[in-house]
Amino acid sequence: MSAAAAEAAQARRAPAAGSAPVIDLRRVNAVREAIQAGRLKQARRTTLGGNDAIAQAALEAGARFFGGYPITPSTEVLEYAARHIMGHGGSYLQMEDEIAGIAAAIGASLGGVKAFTATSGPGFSLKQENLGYACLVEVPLVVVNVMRGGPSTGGPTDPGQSDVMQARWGTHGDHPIVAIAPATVQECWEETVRAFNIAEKYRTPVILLPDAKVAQMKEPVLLPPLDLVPVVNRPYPSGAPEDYEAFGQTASGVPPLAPFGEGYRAHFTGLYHNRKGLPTKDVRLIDQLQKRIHAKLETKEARADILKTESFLAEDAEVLVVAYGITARAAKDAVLEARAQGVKAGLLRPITLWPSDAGAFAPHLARAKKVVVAELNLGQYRLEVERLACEAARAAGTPPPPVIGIHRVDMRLIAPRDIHQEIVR
Amino acid sequence: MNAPFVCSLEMPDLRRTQMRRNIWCEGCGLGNMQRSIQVALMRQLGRRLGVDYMDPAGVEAIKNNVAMVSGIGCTSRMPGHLDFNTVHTTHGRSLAFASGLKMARPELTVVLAAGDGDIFAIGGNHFIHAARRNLDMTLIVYDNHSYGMTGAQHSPTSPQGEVGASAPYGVFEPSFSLIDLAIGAGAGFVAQGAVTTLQEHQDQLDELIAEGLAHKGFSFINVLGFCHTGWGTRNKRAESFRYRQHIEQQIASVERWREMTAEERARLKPLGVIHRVARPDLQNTPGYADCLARSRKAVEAGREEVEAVSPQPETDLRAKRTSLRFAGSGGQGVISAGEIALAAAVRAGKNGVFMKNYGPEARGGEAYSDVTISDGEIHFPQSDRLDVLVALNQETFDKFRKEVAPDGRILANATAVRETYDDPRVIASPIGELLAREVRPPKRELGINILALALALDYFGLMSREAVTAAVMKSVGKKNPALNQKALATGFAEADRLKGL
Repeated sequence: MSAAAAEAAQARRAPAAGSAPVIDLRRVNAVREAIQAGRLKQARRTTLGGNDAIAQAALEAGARFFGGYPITPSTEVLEYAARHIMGHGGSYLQMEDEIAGIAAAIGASLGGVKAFTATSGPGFSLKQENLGYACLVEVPLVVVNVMRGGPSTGGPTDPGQSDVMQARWGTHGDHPIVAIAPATVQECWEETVRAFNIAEKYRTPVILLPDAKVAQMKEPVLLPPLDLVPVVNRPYPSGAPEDYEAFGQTASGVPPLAPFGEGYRAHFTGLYHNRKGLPTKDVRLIDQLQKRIHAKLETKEARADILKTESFLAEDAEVLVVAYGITARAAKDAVLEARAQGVKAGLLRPITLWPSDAGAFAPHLARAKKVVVAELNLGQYRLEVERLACEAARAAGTPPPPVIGIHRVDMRLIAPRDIHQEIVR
Repeated sequence: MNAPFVCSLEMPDLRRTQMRRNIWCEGCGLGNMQRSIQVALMRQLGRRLGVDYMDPAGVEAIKNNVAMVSGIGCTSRMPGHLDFNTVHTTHGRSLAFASGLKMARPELTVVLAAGDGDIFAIGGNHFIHAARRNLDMTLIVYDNHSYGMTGAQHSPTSPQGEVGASAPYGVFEPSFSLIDLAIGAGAGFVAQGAVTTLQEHQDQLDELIAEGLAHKGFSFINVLGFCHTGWGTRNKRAESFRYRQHIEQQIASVERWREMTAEERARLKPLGVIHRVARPDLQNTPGYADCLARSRKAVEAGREEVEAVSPQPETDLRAKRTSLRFAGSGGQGVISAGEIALAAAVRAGKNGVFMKNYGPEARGGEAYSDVTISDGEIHFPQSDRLDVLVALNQETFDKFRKEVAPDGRILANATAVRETYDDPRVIASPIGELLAREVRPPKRELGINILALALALDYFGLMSREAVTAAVMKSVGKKNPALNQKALATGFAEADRLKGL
């Protein structure tokens, strides 16, 4: 093994940082919070486009392979990777199609290298089968889907938020999924790092769902120095190679995943498989497998790592707005305007869309007299909010609040006044 | 009920001990192919890794070094049986998975086992591009001219006229030559073997796969196989032995085949190494090494500097925002003007958001970018009413004038904007003429964006000259400092003149 190969192998085995990170990505505005708390004393100040921030964050989180295919409005992620990833000791391929883009990323990840792909609506549809493969085979992977209008070719250059349900249920079969919607360029960076950390720690694909507006805009950002980027690596097996179970039961529910070539040989198949990864028809093992891949994302620790919701003036809100991505930025202006007029309005902004953050939503939904959901689709996340509102009402023994939708699918953004009108109506 | 294979007793077994039963039918040729893959890997990899495959440590080293990838189908179940790093992927996609794996871990020996339906129908695109790309991988295809696992439907290699489950009255589609396809797509090593009743063909297959593994670059070994329980039962070759004999009647050594007449060639299939061209595999081309070096330089050049930061007072959530639009024809640099305005705002300690505008309206020769700046938070980065419009031509002046706030301002390039409709918000400046006279760019309009930017930001008091100058010189000014300095100076001087009016 060459010195470079040995170094690369060591990097693949590197354990997750032991001490508490300076930046706690479970917090909203994590970098700013670290500065305000005096934990972070140095930073890189720059301006970035959303897509560039995502690609840069991926490399800084340790991604060393990108497989993709050009598609508006996500192409800058591919282009950034093409410029930089080899210089970081990684590699990339512009594949022959969208399917191959995610397939190559999964192949690289199984090889032991953090990997990602990027796409938009139509390409996201094409990637769905292999996304399901990554769920069942428990492959760490980040899929960036920059949302544009749909269905079909729709509005390639215009913003949409219409892939929310595709992110949740796009691939067939019962499967857990994590989907994250950043709203600022700073958040594009922070949430991409968090997405990789979740993907690696929990051996699961994570979908990053910026809308085209957020991905295409440029904003100033403050990034921590490279050595303070909180990076988590996948669990490495601790036992002897002959005892290695790539799909075994562990305390966390997440089995270790060894890079290829280091003696821990295993089989990875999209068929139902046993703890060694070999195909099985044992109903008990199949049941265990299917339930474990869900349960591993539902532990207390996993929920703390995965769920993330910003509460903006929502603590006493009687009119609760729910919005995410670019629409949440309009909602903030609307809420501020309503507050200035004495209306008790607030915003809940799910940063992690899936799984939905029922715990954070419940108290606000139970208190709210009216809930307004604003999104650039015809009501995809409103369905989830309605479900959560009914659940919260049932638990509180009160009637559920009315859930009103503000929806646009004409390539235009929902403006603050659209939301404000509904708040004060 | 393992498939029979010709056993070389002195060879170690590379199979997994936990997989005691396989799904292949008794008599299937896949057992032969699997055995040949084992033999070839031991011979070839033993040599490459410098280990003895008769030594258990040597076997271990070989197993650790091999990654076997497959798609879906009977053949694709093979990796489950072999004790390597094995990936059984989705239908047709094995080459795409393997390509990422090989890019990420070039030191691994990547081997693929696939069926004809998997690799040439649903995975055809990946096959073409894997051959073109020339990653150092070895693909072994078991071509039984049918979909075996789903029950004998016809595949892209099914002979016309024969009967399949989805071709009940005979296959009416033509098949194609995998060999020609592979060569045409750029595969550097193309060989064909067969599973028959004869030991010589088993030995030949061992050798062909070993040669494919030795070849640096994409190598493709097509194995003429059969499915006696599926396709065979529908075409009077329901016994393994009989089907194997049928294949024997269809083959000729490639040397003999090359001497044949066109009719004979059409009837028979060549066996042996059909095509071999030495060229560097993808990761060892000079072009790849060059990209690597240039990317390293880009990363070095792009390193951001670290500066001291400290807790700040909470930002004003409802601070005033100023929205600017730079508009003109494509090529006038209005997009970069917006980007530079954002950079200048950030330098001046302000917050900002830049948005370039895609869309059909931006394609028809018109371009514009929007910048919102503020001393506080900017939530929604789009305004109903522009505070400042910089219009470099008549078309954008006409188009965006109505989006300017009643108390907003419009800086119009009087050289191009002839009609201002007596709009009281307009500040007219002969920007085009100033550029030609003072800046004298080598190319028409080069620097007009910088002149207009300097003029607008200074005249409207949006940012200090220092911030604007620094932002310009750190971006476009790097490439052409003299011209941009002149454009800035001209813009600032014009601002002074207008302020004096």
